[in-house]
Amino acid sequence: MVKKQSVIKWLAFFVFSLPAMGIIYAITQNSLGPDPAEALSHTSGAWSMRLLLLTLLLSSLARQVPFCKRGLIIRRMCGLFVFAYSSFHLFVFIALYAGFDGLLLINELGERPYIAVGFIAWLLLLPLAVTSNGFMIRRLGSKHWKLLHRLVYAVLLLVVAHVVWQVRSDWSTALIYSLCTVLLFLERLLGRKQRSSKA
Amino acid sequence: MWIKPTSDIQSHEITPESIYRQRRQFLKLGAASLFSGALHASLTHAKPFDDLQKMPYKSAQAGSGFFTTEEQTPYGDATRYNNFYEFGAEKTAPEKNSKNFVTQPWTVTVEGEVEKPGEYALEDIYHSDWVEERIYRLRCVEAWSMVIPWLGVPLAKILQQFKPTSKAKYVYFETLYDPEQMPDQASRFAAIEYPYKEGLRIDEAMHPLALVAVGMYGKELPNQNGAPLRLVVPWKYGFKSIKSIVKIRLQENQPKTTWMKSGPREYGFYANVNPAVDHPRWTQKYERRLPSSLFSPNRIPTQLFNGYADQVARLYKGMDLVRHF
Repeated sequence: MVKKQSVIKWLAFFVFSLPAMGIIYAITQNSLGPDPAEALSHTSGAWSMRLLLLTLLLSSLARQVPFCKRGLIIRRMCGLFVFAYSSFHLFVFIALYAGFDGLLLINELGERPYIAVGFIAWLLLLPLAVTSNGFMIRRLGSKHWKLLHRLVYAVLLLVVAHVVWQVRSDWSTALIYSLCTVLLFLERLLGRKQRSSKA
Repeated sequence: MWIKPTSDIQSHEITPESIYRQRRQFLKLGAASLFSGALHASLTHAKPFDDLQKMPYKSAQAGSGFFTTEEQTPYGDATRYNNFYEFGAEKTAPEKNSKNFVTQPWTVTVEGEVEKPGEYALEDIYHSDWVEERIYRLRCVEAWSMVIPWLGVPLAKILQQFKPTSKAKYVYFETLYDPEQMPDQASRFAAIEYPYKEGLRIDEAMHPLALVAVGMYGKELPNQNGAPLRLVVPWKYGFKSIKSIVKIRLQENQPKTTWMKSGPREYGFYANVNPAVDHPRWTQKYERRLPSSLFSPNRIPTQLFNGYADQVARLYKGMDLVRHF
């Protein structure tokens, strides 16, 4: 049983790393195009979002489909990869868009709503990443740990706002993310109703 | 041990390829006028660089303000990193999706406050011996920029043929509307209205810098860059440089442009490059000069009017550049 879990985890680690490997490969091959800032920011942002949705989907599936309870094995790793990709996304912004210019960064945070919500979302991911291990679960106790990790819903909403606020002419991606978000929230709200009506 | 090469020629001392070719083209100009007939007949399909037809042109005069000696953007980047939403929203989409775009025959409808309105064939809009090379900076509103050697004809020269009347205060332009060739025009998710519309004030249109480009890098325009003719207004954000023009209308009232309609708080009519006027969603103080790489991002401060202030500032004397953005 333990061995099987390891295999699944290693497999998941490999799959979640693929976008990062793609990025590293593109950097070495100089195939990011003439504006690598945009390419890197876009890719890392897109994968952060997709993995965030997947993390929440794993929970939904575990609740609705008994077979999918095993998906919870890789949920923590998925969440940590969200933190990894979004940290890289933030770094690209600080380094390539703002040139490490502290004053400019502060100004941008204050004046651009989409940057502010993106940054707050990342800040909220920090405590989640830091507490994503057995030691912290025991330290906090299951009840408080679960309460803290409800922050992920705030993160999701902030990130959706971050994406929607940047739409220039093509709505399709923002629409898909929004739709997934609605469905994920629906599953939780309806599930709650069901559980409370049964009790 | 690192041995320094003896001939340490600075890059700015090497004759830029364009000037080198200019000198040869200038010599061939006479024979090249025979070219234009064959050129237009063969403009049926998009071609890779090697297949694009060379264009005869005159070189810009030194000190004319019509060219910069800054490093030019490589052709591959200028033709594979485009905002031409009609062919898709990704930067690489226009090159991929415009391969079969038909640019011949091409008609430009000229209407409005002119004495000579009509439907003009492309070859009647300009003469091949009017074509000159202009090396301009192009600054996108998205905060990236390129340096491109355009081949074109001053917009003023083209407009003067149609004899604008005294009522002509603005010039309005329109891009082709053809959902079969331009996939995003048929999409339900497009957030801008098609056909693409742009406009200039008449004095801006008549300014010597305003160019109708018909070629670049010594050859005809690739489809993804707005073939067969497009505007280049280098002191304004790139979205003013409308591509694949099919209509020119001289009119009394300020036209409502596509981007003004799409985001009136974000995109104004004038859209002059101005580091002091931020876009509501991002700063305009800096730009990335492409190609940029990870270790040399080429982040440079943006200049007022994209560095063309000494040529165009007089157009905006006394105008509040924040209000009229």
